[in-house]
Amino acid sequence: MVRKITFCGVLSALALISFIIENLLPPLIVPGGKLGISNVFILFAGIVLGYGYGLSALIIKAVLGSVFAGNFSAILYSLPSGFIAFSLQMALFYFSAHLSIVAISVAGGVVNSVLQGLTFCLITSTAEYVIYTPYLALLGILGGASVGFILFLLLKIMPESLLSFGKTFAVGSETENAYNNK
Amino acid sequence: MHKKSGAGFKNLKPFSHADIILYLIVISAVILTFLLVFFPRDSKSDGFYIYVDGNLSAEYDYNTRAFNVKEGFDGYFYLSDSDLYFYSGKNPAEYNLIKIDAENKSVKVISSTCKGHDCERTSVNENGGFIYCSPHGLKIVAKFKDDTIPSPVTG
Repeated sequence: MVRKITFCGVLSALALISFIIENLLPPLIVPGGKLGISNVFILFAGIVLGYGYGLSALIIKAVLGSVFAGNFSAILYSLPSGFIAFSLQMALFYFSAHLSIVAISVAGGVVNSVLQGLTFCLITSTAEYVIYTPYLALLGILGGASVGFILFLLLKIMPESLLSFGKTFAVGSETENAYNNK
Repeated sequence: MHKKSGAGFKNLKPFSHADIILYLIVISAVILTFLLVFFPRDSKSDGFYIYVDGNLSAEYDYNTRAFNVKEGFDGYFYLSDSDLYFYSGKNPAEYNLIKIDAENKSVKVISSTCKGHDCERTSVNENGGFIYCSPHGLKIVAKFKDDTIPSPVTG
Protein backbone atom coordinates (compact mmCIF):
# COMPACT_ATOMS: atom_id res chain seq x y z
CA MET A 1 0.00 0.00 0.00
CA VAL A 2 2.75 2.43 0.99
CA ARG A 3 4.73 1.43 -2.08
CA LYS A 4 1.70 2.02 -4.28
CA ILE A 5 1.07 5.46 -2.79
CA THR A 6 4.72 6.39 -3.21
CA PHE A 7 4.77 5.22 -6.81
CA CYS A 8 1.54 7.11 -7.47
CA GLY A 9 3.11 10.25 -6.05
CA VAL A 10 6.11 9.89 -8.34
CA LEU A 11 3.88 9.36 -11.36
CA SER A 12 1.73 12.36 -10.41
CA ALA A 13 4.84 14.53 -10.19
CA LEU A 14 6.03 13.32 -13.58
CA ALA A 15 2.61 14.01 -15.09
CA LEU A 16 2.64 17.50 -13.59
CA ILE A 17 6.15 18.29 -14.86
CA SER A 18 5.36 17.10 -18.40
CA PHE A 19 2.10 19.10 -18.35
CA ILE A 20 3.92 22.28 -17.35
CA ILE A 21 6.62 21.77 -20.00
CA GLU A 22 3.99 21.12 -22.66
CA ASN A 23 2.16 24.26 -21.59
CA LEU A 24 5.23 26.32 -22.44
CA LEU A 25 5.26 25.04 -26.03
CA PRO A 26 3.12 26.64 -28.78
CA PRO A 27 -0.28 25.01 -29.42
CA LEU A 28 -0.79 22.38 -32.12
CA ILE A 29 -3.36 22.78 -34.91
CA VAL A 30 -6.00 24.58 -32.81
CA PRO A 31 -5.75 27.17 -30.01
CA GLY A 32 -4.82 25.39 -26.81
CA GLY A 33 -4.09 22.13 -28.62
CA LYS A 34 -1.59 19.82 -26.93
CA LEU A 35 -0.46 16.21 -27.43
CA GLY A 36 -1.12 15.35 -23.80
CA ILE A 37 2.12 13.52 -23.01
CA SER A 38 1.31 13.82 -19.30
CA ASN A 39 -1.38 11.21 -19.88
CA VAL A 40 1.38 8.61 -20.25
CA PHE A 41 1.95 8.70 -16.51
CA ILE A 42 -1.73 8.86 -15.63
CA LEU A 43 -2.56 5.87 -17.78
CA PHE A 44 0.52 4.10 -16.44
CA ALA A 45 -0.73 4.65 -12.89
CA GLY A 46 -4.18 3.38 -13.79
CA ILE A 47 -2.91 0.25 -15.52
CA VAL A 48 -0.18 -0.75 -13.05
CA LEU A 49 -1.57 0.52 -9.75
CA GLY A 50 -5.32 0.60 -10.30
CA TYR A 51 -8.17 2.89 -11.26
CA GLY A 52 -8.18 4.86 -8.00
CA TYR A 53 -4.48 5.69 -8.21
CA GLY A 54 -4.74 6.72 -11.83
CA LEU A 55 -7.68 8.96 -11.00
CA SER A 56 -5.72 10.52 -8.14
CA ALA A 57 -2.82 11.25 -10.49
CA LEU A 58 -5.26 12.83 -12.96
CA ILE A 59 -6.80 15.09 -10.32
CA ILE A 60 -3.41 16.14 -8.96
CA LYS A 61 -2.14 16.93 -12.45
CA ALA A 62 -5.27 18.88 -13.40
CA VAL A 63 -5.47 20.94 -10.20
CA LEU A 64 -1.79 21.66 -9.60
CA GLY A 65 -1.09 22.05 -13.31
CA SER A 66 -3.72 24.77 -13.58
CA VAL A 67 -2.30 26.49 -10.49
CA PHE A 68 1.29 26.46 -11.78
CA ALA A 69 0.25 27.43 -15.31
CA GLY A 70 -1.71 30.38 -13.92
CA ASN A 71 -4.89 29.35 -15.70
CA PHE A 72 -7.35 28.28 -13.02
CA SER A 73 -10.28 28.01 -15.42
CA ALA A 74 -8.50 25.17 -17.23
CA ILE A 75 -9.56 22.88 -14.36
CA LEU A 76 -13.17 23.26 -15.51
CA TYR A 77 -12.30 22.12 -19.04
CA SER A 78 -9.72 19.43 -18.35
CA LEU A 79 -11.07 17.63 -15.28
CA PRO A 80 -14.51 16.47 -16.51
CA SER A 81 -13.23 15.42 -19.93
CA GLY A 82 -10.14 13.82 -18.41
CA PHE A 83 -12.27 11.85 -15.96
CA ILE A 84 -14.57 10.51 -18.67
CA ALA A 85 -11.69 9.67 -21.03
CA PHE A 86 -9.67 7.97 -18.29
CA SER A 87 -12.68 5.95 -17.13
CA LEU A 88 -13.30 4.85 -20.71
CA GLN A 89 -9.67 3.79 -21.09
CA MET A 90 -9.75 1.78 -17.87
CA ALA A 91 -13.03 0.15 -18.87
CA LEU A 92 -11.56 -0.83 -22.24
CA PHE A 93 -8.41 -2.13 -20.55
CA TYR A 94 -10.20 -4.25 -17.98
CA PHE A 95 -13.10 -5.52 -20.03
CA SER A 96 -11.57 -5.95 -23.46
CA ALA A 97 -8.95 -8.68 -23.78
CA HIS A 98 -8.33 -7.92 -27.46
CA LEU A 99 -7.59 -4.21 -27.73
CA SER A 100 -3.98 -3.03 -27.61
CA ILE A 101 -2.65 -0.29 -25.33
CA VAL A 102 -2.22 2.04 -28.32
CA ALA A 103 -5.84 1.63 -29.43
CA ILE A 104 -7.11 2.20 -25.90
CA SER A 105 -5.01 5.34 -25.66
CA VAL A 106 -6.29 6.61 -29.04
CA ALA A 107 -9.90 6.10 -27.95
CA GLY A 108 -9.26 8.02 -24.73
CA GLY A 109 -7.32 10.73 -26.55
CA VAL A 110 -10.10 11.44 -29.03
CA VAL A 111 -12.78 11.47 -26.33
CA ASN A 112 -10.67 13.76 -24.11
CA SER A 113 -9.90 16.29 -26.87
CA VAL A 114 -13.44 16.49 -28.22
CA LEU A 115 -15.07 16.65 -24.80
CA GLN A 116 -12.64 19.33 -23.66
CA GLY A 117 -13.58 21.47 -26.67
CA LEU A 118 -17.29 20.95 -26.11
CA THR A 119 -16.94 21.73 -22.39
CA PHE A 120 -15.15 24.94 -23.31
CA CYS A 121 -18.07 25.85 -25.61
CA LEU A 122 -20.59 25.23 -22.85
CA ILE A 123 -18.78 27.04 -20.06
CA THR A 124 -17.76 30.12 -22.07
CA SER A 125 -20.94 30.20 -24.21
CA THR A 126 -18.86 30.27 -27.37
CA ALA A 127 -20.68 27.90 -29.69
CA GLU A 128 -18.39 28.95 -32.53
CA TYR A 129 -15.57 26.87 -31.05
CA VAL A 130 -17.47 23.71 -32.02
CA ILE A 131 -16.10 24.19 -35.55
CA TYR A 132 -12.73 23.05 -34.26
CA THR A 133 -14.16 19.66 -33.25
CA PRO A 134 -12.72 17.78 -36.28
CA TYR A 135 -9.28 19.21 -35.64
CA LEU A 136 -9.56 18.32 -31.96
CA ALA A 137 -10.47 14.77 -32.92
CA LEU A 138 -7.40 14.59 -35.20
CA LEU A 139 -5.22 15.92 -32.42
CA GLY A 140 -6.73 13.33 -30.10
CA ILE A 141 -5.75 10.54 -32.50
CA LEU A 142 -2.22 11.88 -32.79
CA GLY A 143 -1.84 12.45 -29.07
CA GLY A 144 -3.47 9.15 -28.14
CA ALA A 145 -1.22 7.20 -30.50
CA SER A 146 1.90 8.93 -29.13
CA VAL A 147 0.86 8.33 -25.53
CA GLY A 148 -0.07 4.72 -26.23
CA PHE A 149 3.18 3.94 -27.95
CA ILE A 150 5.30 5.58 -25.25
CA LEU A 151 3.34 3.68 -22.61
CA PHE A 152 3.82 0.43 -24.48
CA LEU A 153 7.59 1.00 -24.58
CA LEU A 154 7.66 1.91 -20.88
CA LEU A 155 5.83 -1.26 -19.90
CA LYS A 156 8.24 -3.29 -22.01
CA ILE A 157 11.39 -1.68 -20.68
CA MET A 158 10.58 -1.41 -16.98
CA PRO A 159 11.67 -4.35 -14.79
CA GLU A 160 8.99 -6.73 -13.65
CA SER A 161 9.61 -5.94 -10.00
CA LEU A 162 8.49 -2.36 -10.56
CA LEU A 163 5.29 -3.45 -12.30
CA SER A 164 4.12 -5.87 -9.63
CA PHE A 165 2.43 -4.76 -6.44
CA GLY A 166 1.30 -7.12 -3.69
CA LYS A 167 0.07 -10.57 -4.64
CA THR A 168 -0.95 -9.67 -8.18
CA PHE A 169 1.71 -11.68 -9.94
CA ALA A 170 0.92 -13.64 -13.04
CA VAL A 171 0.55 -17.34 -12.39
CA GLY A 172 3.79 -19.16 -13.05
CA SER A 173 5.88 -16.01 -13.33
CA GLU A 174 9.39 -15.74 -11.99
CA THR A 175 8.25 -13.04 -9.60
CA GLU A 176 5.62 -15.32 -8.05
CA ASN A 177 8.15 -18.10 -7.58
CA ALA A 178 10.60 -15.71 -5.98
CA TYR A 179 7.85 -14.41 -3.66
CA ASN A 180 6.76 -17.89 -2.61
CA ASN A 181 10.30 -19.07 -1.93
CA LYS A 182 11.22 -16.01 0.17
CA MET B 1 -0.84 -15.08 -18.45
CA HIS B 2 -3.28 -12.18 -17.90
CA LYS B 3 -2.26 -8.74 -19.05
CA LYS B 4 -3.23 -7.18 -15.72
CA SER B 5 -0.08 -8.38 -13.97
CA GLY B 6 3.58 -7.47 -13.84
CA ALA B 7 4.83 -10.27 -16.09
CA GLY B 8 1.72 -10.05 -18.29
CA PHE B 9 2.66 -6.51 -19.31
CA LYS B 10 5.72 -7.88 -21.09
CA ASN B 11 3.46 -9.76 -23.49
CA LEU B 12 1.52 -6.68 -24.57
CA LYS B 13 1.62 -5.85 -28.28
CA PRO B 14 1.35 -2.35 -29.82
CA PHE B 15 -1.28 -3.54 -32.27
CA SER B 16 -3.92 -6.25 -32.43
CA HIS B 17 -6.53 -7.18 -35.03
CA ALA B 18 -9.37 -5.93 -32.85
CA ASP B 19 -7.89 -2.41 -33.04
CA ILE B 20 -9.01 -2.15 -36.67
CA ILE B 21 -12.65 -1.93 -35.62
CA LEU B 22 -11.95 0.85 -33.15
CA TYR B 23 -9.78 2.79 -35.60
CA LEU B 24 -12.48 2.50 -38.28
CA ILE B 25 -15.07 3.93 -35.88
CA VAL B 26 -12.79 6.81 -34.89
CA ILE B 27 -11.79 7.66 -38.47
CA SER B 28 -15.42 7.51 -39.65
CA ALA B 29 -16.46 9.88 -36.88
CA VAL B 30 -13.66 12.33 -37.76
CA ILE B 31 -14.53 12.28 -41.48
CA LEU B 32 -18.19 12.86 -40.63
CA THR B 33 -17.38 15.91 -38.51
CA PHE B 34 -15.17 17.33 -41.30
CA LEU B 35 -17.97 16.86 -43.82
CA LEU B 36 -20.45 18.61 -41.53
CA VAL B 37 -18.14 21.56 -40.91
CA PHE B 38 -16.97 22.02 -44.51
CA PHE B 39 -20.36 21.45 -46.12
CA PRO B 40 -20.53 24.00 -48.98
CA ARG B 41 -22.28 27.27 -48.24
CA ASP B 42 -23.32 30.03 -50.55
CA SER B 43 -23.08 32.97 -48.18
CA LYS B 44 -19.98 34.98 -47.38
CA SER B 45 -19.47 37.11 -44.31
CA ASP B 46 -19.75 40.87 -44.72
CA GLY B 47 -18.53 41.87 -41.30
CA PHE B 48 -17.89 40.73 -37.78
CA TYR B 49 -19.27 41.00 -34.27
CA ILE B 50 -17.29 41.83 -31.14
CA TYR B 51 -18.52 40.32 -27.89
CA VAL B 52 -17.23 41.33 -24.47
CA ASP B 53 -17.95 38.93 -21.62
CA GLY B 54 -20.67 37.31 -23.71
CA ASN B 55 -22.44 40.60 -24.58
CA LEU B 56 -22.58 41.94 -28.12
CA SER B 57 -20.66 45.18 -27.85
CA ALA B 58 -19.83 46.25 -31.39
CA GLU B 59 -20.08 45.24 -35.02
CA TYR B 60 -18.17 46.15 -38.16
CA ASP B 61 -19.21 46.09 -41.82
CA TYR B 62 -16.46 45.53 -44.44
CA ASN B 63 -18.45 47.18 -47.25
CA THR B 64 -19.43 50.43 -45.53
CA ARG B 65 -16.45 50.34 -43.12
CA ALA B 66 -18.89 51.38 -40.43
CA PHE B 67 -18.09 50.50 -36.82
CA ASN B 68 -21.21 50.45 -34.63
CA VAL B 69 -20.79 50.37 -30.87
CA LYS B 70 -23.73 49.09 -28.87
CA GLU B 71 -25.23 51.18 -26.10
CA GLY B 72 -23.93 50.30 -22.69
CA PHE B 73 -20.54 49.09 -23.85
CA ASP B 74 -18.06 50.56 -21.41
CA GLY B 75 -14.87 49.45 -23.13
CA TYR B 76 -13.07 52.27 -24.92
CA PHE B 77 -10.98 52.14 -28.03
CA TYR B 78 -9.08 54.08 -30.61
CA LEU B 79 -9.98 53.52 -34.24
CA SER B 80 -7.78 54.43 -37.17
CA ASP B 81 -8.30 53.31 -40.75
CA SER B 82 -7.30 49.77 -40.02
CA ASP B 83 -6.23 49.44 -36.41
CA LEU B 84 -8.52 49.03 -33.46
CA TYR B 85 -7.22 49.18 -29.94
CA PHE B 86 -9.60 47.20 -27.88
CA TYR B 87 -9.37 47.88 -24.15
CA SER B 88 -11.34 45.43 -22.09
CA GLY B 89 -12.64 48.29 -19.95
CA LYS B 90 -11.46 46.70 -16.76
CA ASN B 91 -7.81 47.70 -16.97
CA PRO B 92 -6.41 50.12 -19.56
CA ALA B 93 -3.07 48.32 -19.47
CA GLU B 94 -4.74 45.15 -20.76
CA TYR B 95 -5.51 45.36 -24.47
CA ASN B 96 -5.89 43.54 -27.76
CA LEU B 97 -4.67 45.30 -30.90
CA ILE B 98 -7.05 44.33 -33.68
CA LYS B 99 -6.13 44.90 -37.31
CA ILE B 100 -8.99 45.18 -39.78
CA ASP B 101 -8.33 44.58 -43.48
CA ALA B 102 -11.52 45.82 -45.12
CA GLU B 103 -10.08 45.27 -48.59
CA ASN B 104 -9.55 41.53 -48.02
CA LYS B 105 -12.44 41.34 -45.56
CA SER B 106 -10.49 39.93 -42.64
CA VAL B 107 -9.68 40.83 -39.05
CA LYS B 108 -6.89 39.57 -36.82
CA VAL B 109 -5.47 40.27 -33.37
CA ILE B 110 -1.85 41.26 -33.97
CA SER B 111 -0.85 42.04 -30.41
CA SER B 112 -2.24 41.41 -26.97
CA THR B 113 -1.24 41.55 -23.32
CA CYS B 114 -2.93 38.30 -22.38
CA LYS B 115 -1.00 35.23 -21.30
CA GLY B 116 -0.87 32.52 -23.94
CA HIS B 117 -1.69 34.78 -26.92
CA ASP B 118 -4.17 32.23 -28.27
CA CYS B 119 -6.22 35.09 -29.74
CA GLU B 120 -3.35 35.95 -32.10
CA ARG B 121 -3.33 32.50 -33.71
CA THR B 122 -6.73 32.64 -35.43
CA SER B 123 -8.41 35.12 -37.70
CA VAL B 124 -11.85 35.98 -39.05
CA ASN B 125 -12.51 36.48 -42.75
CA GLU B 126 -15.40 36.32 -45.23
CA ASN B 127 -15.47 32.52 -44.96
CA GLY B 128 -15.84 32.60 -41.21
CA GLY B 129 -13.48 32.13 -38.31
CA PHE B 130 -13.32 32.77 -34.65
CA ILE B 131 -11.11 34.80 -32.30
CA TYR B 132 -11.36 34.33 -28.57
CA CYS B 133 -9.36 35.93 -25.76
CA SER B 134 -10.34 34.33 -22.48
CA PRO B 135 -8.46 36.65 -20.06
CA HIS B 136 -9.98 39.75 -21.66
CA GLY B 137 -13.42 38.28 -22.34
CA LEU B 138 -13.10 39.23 -26.02
CA LYS B 139 -14.78 37.23 -28.78
CA ILE B 140 -14.85 38.13 -32.48
CA VAL B 141 -17.00 36.14 -34.88
CA ALA B 142 -17.95 36.56 -38.52
CA LYS B 143 -21.27 38.12 -39.35
CA PHE B 144 -23.37 36.15 -41.83
CA LYS B 145 -26.65 37.20 -43.41
CA ASP B 146 -28.12 33.71 -42.96
CA ASP B 147 -26.43 32.90 -39.63
CA THR B 148 -24.75 29.72 -40.97
CA ILE B 149 -21.95 28.03 -39.06
CA PRO B 150 -18.60 29.61 -40.00
CA SER B 151 -15.54 27.63 -41.08
CA PRO B 152 -12.49 27.48 -38.85
CA VAL B 153 -9.63 29.70 -39.89
CA THR B 154 -6.28 29.23 -38.20
CA GLY B 155 -3.04 31.20 -38.43
